[in-house]
This record gives sequence, structure tokens and C-alpha cells, in this order.
Amino acid sequence: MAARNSLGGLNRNSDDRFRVFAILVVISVVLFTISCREAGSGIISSVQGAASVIVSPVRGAGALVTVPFQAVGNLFSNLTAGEATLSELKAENERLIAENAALKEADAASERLEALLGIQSSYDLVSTGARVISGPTDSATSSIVIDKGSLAGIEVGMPVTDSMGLVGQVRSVTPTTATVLLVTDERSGVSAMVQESRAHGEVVGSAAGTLSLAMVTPELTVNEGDLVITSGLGGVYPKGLPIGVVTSISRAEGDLYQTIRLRPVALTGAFEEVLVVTEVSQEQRATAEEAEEAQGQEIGDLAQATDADGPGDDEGESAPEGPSES
Amino acid sequence: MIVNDQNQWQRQCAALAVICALAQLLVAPYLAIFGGHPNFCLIFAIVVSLTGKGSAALVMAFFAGIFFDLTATTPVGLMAFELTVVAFVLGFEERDRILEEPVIAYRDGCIAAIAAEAVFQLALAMVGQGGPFADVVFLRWLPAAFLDCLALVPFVFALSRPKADGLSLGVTGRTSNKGRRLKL
Repeated sequence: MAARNSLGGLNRNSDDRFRVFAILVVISVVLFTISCREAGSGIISSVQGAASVIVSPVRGAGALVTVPFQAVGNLFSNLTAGEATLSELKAENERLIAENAALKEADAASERLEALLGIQSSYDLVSTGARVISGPTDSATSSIVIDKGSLAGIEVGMPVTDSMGLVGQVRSVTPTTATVLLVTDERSGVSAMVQESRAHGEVVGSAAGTLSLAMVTPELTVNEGDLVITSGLGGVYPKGLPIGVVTSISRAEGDLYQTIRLRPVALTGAFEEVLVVTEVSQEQRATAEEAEEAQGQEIGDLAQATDADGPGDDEGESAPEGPSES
Repeated sequence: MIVNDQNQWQRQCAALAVICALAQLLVAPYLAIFGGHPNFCLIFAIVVSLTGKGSAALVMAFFAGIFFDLTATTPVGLMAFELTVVAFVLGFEERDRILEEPVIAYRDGCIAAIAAEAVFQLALAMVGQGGPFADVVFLRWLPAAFLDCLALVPFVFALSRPKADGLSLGVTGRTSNKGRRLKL
């Protein structure tokens, strides 16, 4: 009798479990469908934004907690810099080392802020400073969260820089925070050009955090060490912001374009303070001549593609797309 | 005895939820291999379902997924769906598998983590948020799954120890395997 009761209870539990499972699956699928359809504006996006606002103090605290570890990291770098440095530092007591690390952090922060002000004035950027409060929280995108949102005038699509160069673009905004898609994300695309040769292309990222300059034909000269900057085409990014330095150039047999790898100039993975460019003036956009020049390079690309494929051989042929900004 | 065991399990889950939520917000962003980050919400769902408390584990896993969705940049509902399925599959036996057979429980947890991360990336690709296939596989899915498996170790280890006079994760109280069996 007891065994029968026990089995009956087990069956009831299993039934309940199936029922709860079915309900939760339906709810989550409905939420997922609505969320995908909303595309960033709707009730679920608002709730997501509100949640982001609620957890932002915790994220901010997390960023603060990591500062001492970064200081220790800097200290470790110094300790391993050389034997002489190592022996000198060993002679100091713990309190002085800790003080030294703290002072170095303050000094570094001051230098970073000065550098940000420097890039702001150098490029005449209309911008707002913000502090990075979190790195990417999921394995889906390469993004960071900053502590400024729509209340500070931040809008989706605004470019973000650090003291060295382009960091990325604002992807979503809440009243007090914003998520920035890094230029190194594989979904990022920035219209760019090589500063020396003015060769136009599109800088694209990868999941590994590397950058490459795409759509540059072989006849355009690109050398290792060349600086790649934003071209200003499309009017999203101000013209002339450094993106990366060319580290390697190659071209396989039959390839239409060169394979150009870049080293990002922005302090990828170590952002602390950034500038959000809130306005791009007419002078910071590409001029009509530059747009024509880029267009001319595209026409050249198309002509070369036709030549390479041979007359009459149009199977699978397509005109290469021009550099685009997302 | 059953009530005591149930209360203890609830306290344990509450402590685990707080730890995993904080880890998700504070640790996960700074712990990465390539583009992969550990998912502590997934770990919470795995652990809770492996300790086996039927519908309650399902509900907790669902809300862990909602928490992840709301604090991440992905569509809401995806992780909630995944964690509900994970909890349903792993918790099918409705017994404390971590306490009774920790190695097998860990193995199953790892398989669930690898599968969940794969489905996550696949679903993102289907809604247009994926990247190139090789990048997604080698730079996001596998590193994230590896970190999940690694992060699962301390949780399984802590919960697999006998808890006669106390409980891991800082929760105190008496429990016994007998009580758990009575519940089943």
C-alpha cells in the first residue's frame, strides 16, 4: 500500500514536472520570438534596459574590484622588467610597494584622461567621456558596457574611441548605460583607408579579436607598418581616427583582394575610459572628391574582376560591394 | 525530516543563485578564452537540476536563463529556453546525483554545457547574430564550453562532500541522505 502511494506520488511529480516544463518552454519561446521581432525597441527591450540599469552598480563595483588586480599586474610587469629593477623593488617594504602601485594607478588614470582630452582636441571631437564598467558578459559578441546612456545624450550608432583610436560603435542604450560593439567583433565593419596610399577598404573584426582590412585590390600599395584610419565615408565615423597598423599583407593565387592583417591601435581588452563621439561635423565626413576616389577604386576592382574572369565567363561573377559602415 | 531537507535545499539554492549571479556579473566578463566566456547561469541550472527537486529545479533554471538574457546582449528567452531544457533532461531522475555519483554527474553536466553552448551559438546564427562558422566553433563555442566545464568543477566538488553537520556554500543546517530518499 505504501509502495503504491509512493509510486502514485512519483507519477504525480512526473506529471507536474512535464506540465511545468511545457509551460516554461512555451513562455521562453514566446519571449524569444517577441524579442527577435522587436529588434531593439519594445517592451522586452525596455525590460532588458531596465535590468541593465539595475545591475550597472554591481558591474561598476566589479570594474573597481579589478583595479587593484590590474595594479598588481602592472607591478608584476615591473618586477619582471629586469634584474636591477627586481632587486631594487625587493628592497622596498610592502607598504611602500602598495602605495607605489596606488600612485601609479592614479598617475596612469591621469595620463589616460589627458590622452583622451588630447585625442578629443586633436580630432576636434564633439564627445562625452565615459567609464567602462563591464566587458562582454556572454560568448556571443565582443562588446563592453559604459556608464553613460541616453540621459547623457548617448545614442545607438555613435562611434566610441579611446586615447589611441577607434574602439567601436554604440549598439544599444539604456538611460544610464550603453553597450558598445567593439571594432574587433566579427559583425563590425568600418569604412577605412590606408593613410599613406589612400587605399580604401573595410576594416572587419573576427571572433579572435583580430582586425583585417578587406576589399583592397593588389594594385593598391600597402606596406607593413602603415596606419589604417577611418575614411569618413557614410558619415558614421569621423574621418582620420586611427584603427590599426598593418602587420602583414598576403595574396593567394587567384584572390581578388589582398589579405591585410591589422594590429588594433586601441587598447583592446584594457579599456577604462572612452570617448563617445556624439556629433560628426560636415568637415569630419568624407569630401565628394574622397567619395569619388573610393568609387574609382571600386570601379577598378570591378574591371579587374572582369579581366581576371575572362571575357564571356560570367558564371558566379558579382560586383564587389563597396566599403560599408555598420 | 523531509521538510528540513527541503528547506536546506532551498537555502542551498538561494546561496548558489547569489554566488552564480555575482560571478556572472563580476567574473565572467573578465574571464575569457578568445571570445568565449563562462556562463554561470548555465552552471547554476546544471547544479540545481543535478541535485534533483523536480519542478522547482525547472523553475529556478528558467529564471536563471531569464537573468542571463536580461543582462546579456542576446535575444531574451533563448537562454531561458535552453536552461529549462537542460534542467528537464538532467533532472529526469529526480535524485541528488552530485552527492551519490559526482563523477557521472560532472560528466553529464559537461555534456549538457557543451550542448547548451552549441545550441546557443546555433540559435544566434539562425537569428542573424552569428559570425563565420569556424570563428563561432573554435573561438566562441569551444572556449565557452571549456570554461563552463572548468567552472563547474568547484561547484560539483563542494556539493559532493557529505554534509552531516553542515553544508557547503556557507549554508548551515542538518541533512541526511535518508531524508532525500524519503522525499523520492
